Amino acid sequence: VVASTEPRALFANTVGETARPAGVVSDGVLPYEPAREPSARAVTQSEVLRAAAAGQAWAYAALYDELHPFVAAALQKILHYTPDYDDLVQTSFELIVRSLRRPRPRPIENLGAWSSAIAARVALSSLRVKIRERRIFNRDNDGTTEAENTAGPALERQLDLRRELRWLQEALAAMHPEQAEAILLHDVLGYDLVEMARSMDVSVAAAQKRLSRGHIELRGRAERNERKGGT
Amino acid sequence: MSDEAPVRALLAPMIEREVDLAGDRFRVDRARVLARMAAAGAPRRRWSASVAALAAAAALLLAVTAAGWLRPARDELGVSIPTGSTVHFQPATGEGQTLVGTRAVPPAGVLETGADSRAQITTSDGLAIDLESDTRVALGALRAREGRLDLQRGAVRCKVAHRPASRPFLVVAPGVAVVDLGTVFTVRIDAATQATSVSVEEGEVLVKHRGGETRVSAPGTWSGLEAPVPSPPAAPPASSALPIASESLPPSAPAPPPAERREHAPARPTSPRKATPAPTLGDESRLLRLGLAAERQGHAQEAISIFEQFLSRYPNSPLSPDARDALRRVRQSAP
Repeated sequence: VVASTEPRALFANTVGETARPAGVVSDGVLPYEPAREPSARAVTQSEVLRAAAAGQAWAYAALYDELHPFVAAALQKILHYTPDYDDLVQTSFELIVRSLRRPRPRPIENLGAWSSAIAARVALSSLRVKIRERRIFNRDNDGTTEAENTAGPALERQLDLRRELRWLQEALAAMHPEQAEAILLHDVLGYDLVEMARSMDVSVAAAQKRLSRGHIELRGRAERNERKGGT
Repeated sequence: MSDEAPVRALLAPMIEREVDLAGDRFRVDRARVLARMAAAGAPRRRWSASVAALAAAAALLLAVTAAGWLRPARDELGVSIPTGSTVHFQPATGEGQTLVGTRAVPPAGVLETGADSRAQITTSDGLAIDLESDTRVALGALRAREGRLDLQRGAVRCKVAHRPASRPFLVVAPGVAVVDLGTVFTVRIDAATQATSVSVEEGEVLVKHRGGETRVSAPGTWSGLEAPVPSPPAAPPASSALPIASESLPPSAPAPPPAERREHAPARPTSPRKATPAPTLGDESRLLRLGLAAERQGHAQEAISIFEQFLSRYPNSPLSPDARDALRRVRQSAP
């Protein structure tokens, strides 16, 4: 199954609420009507977020089911295969819950982009730790899949890909975290500047500045690497 | 913005990477993730006494002023249906509503999974109940002070977070009430024999049955048959935190009757009791179901008569609140 990182509708819209585009948060009005006969109904995104912030277990299940594709996409694209993938998914969701419990200056608008940003931070943090421990050079974490091993391009190309990925991971891990995060959200995960800015809790101008500086930094590192005779 | 093409080329190993959500290499243990989310969402208890008092006062004020419209959010059940669909029958009308995905459901009526579906009920106080396929449960008393799930068909697996002794949780099945003592357990009604069985994965439960009470510790199972078993006179226990223990459940015998058997060592009978003969939960359940069936078929007078009979015969039954609710409902809707 190949996940799309395109923003999509999260949670069904409830009775009485008009359908809204993906990522647009509820207006904050409680959907409950005291006089109405209780009945099963769909759960809105804002309701799930409120319930999760209040510690209600059912909301965690709903959040996980909806956000897992976004978290998986961020972790897999940045890290490729890693033996502690399951633990990183858990860490991402733990941070999602912790973040929901903190007061926010404004509501979360694109839940997918927001969760991707958290997972990207987890992935970057993991990369830094692995590079520090030199585990990134382990064979298990070389970025190849079984398909690539058995039916992929030629061995030479595979080795090139591994080297490119390894260099890229090291470069991003060594960059300023905000610049690396901007690059990952915009260029790798495909979010636009507005979504990226809101996920990072900064203005669009600030997000664009981080992205531009990140591009310059990454190109500079690539040029220095080429001069040294690397990939 | 700077020229992005060279950057995209550098990022190609990540951009072009396809995402795998189903492969073995990227398998995620959903239960562990949810447990970690729950741990992260648990309230922190590091407040000073003054802050806690202030918060309590604010919470009380909020509760008093907004009780009317905040209450549904606290009481609602989360129902997650990973496969297939589940039907929720409304308590008032008896109409069924098909549920898919994740839904918020009021703690009332009946939930029924199909032959190819499963569901999970979660409550705000940390109770998680997995419904197997072809299972039917009544939700009416789930959010009561003494949380109770009425299992009418199929099997449920319950994971119960720590609850105070004043707020016990029990599963009632034909002839049996399983009282949680902080544990993970499954209650199953055999479709062919209607015998109820209990298996305990973690912790301990107290199984109250026609023959008395049996404690079952993990890993352990208990099973019984629904057929009536003559019991010698017995008395309620000297002390019990649960009204059901002394009032509504049948008397116990010193040893389990032949129809019931313990399959693993951890199950042990509690002290024998003396008491007056009492009805079985199976009888109570059957009578209540008769009344509910009459109600569904629109025979209001017959339903009223059955519910009144139920309440006069079994005033202390754990099913009495359901009978009282049903009686009130039918009386209100009767012409």
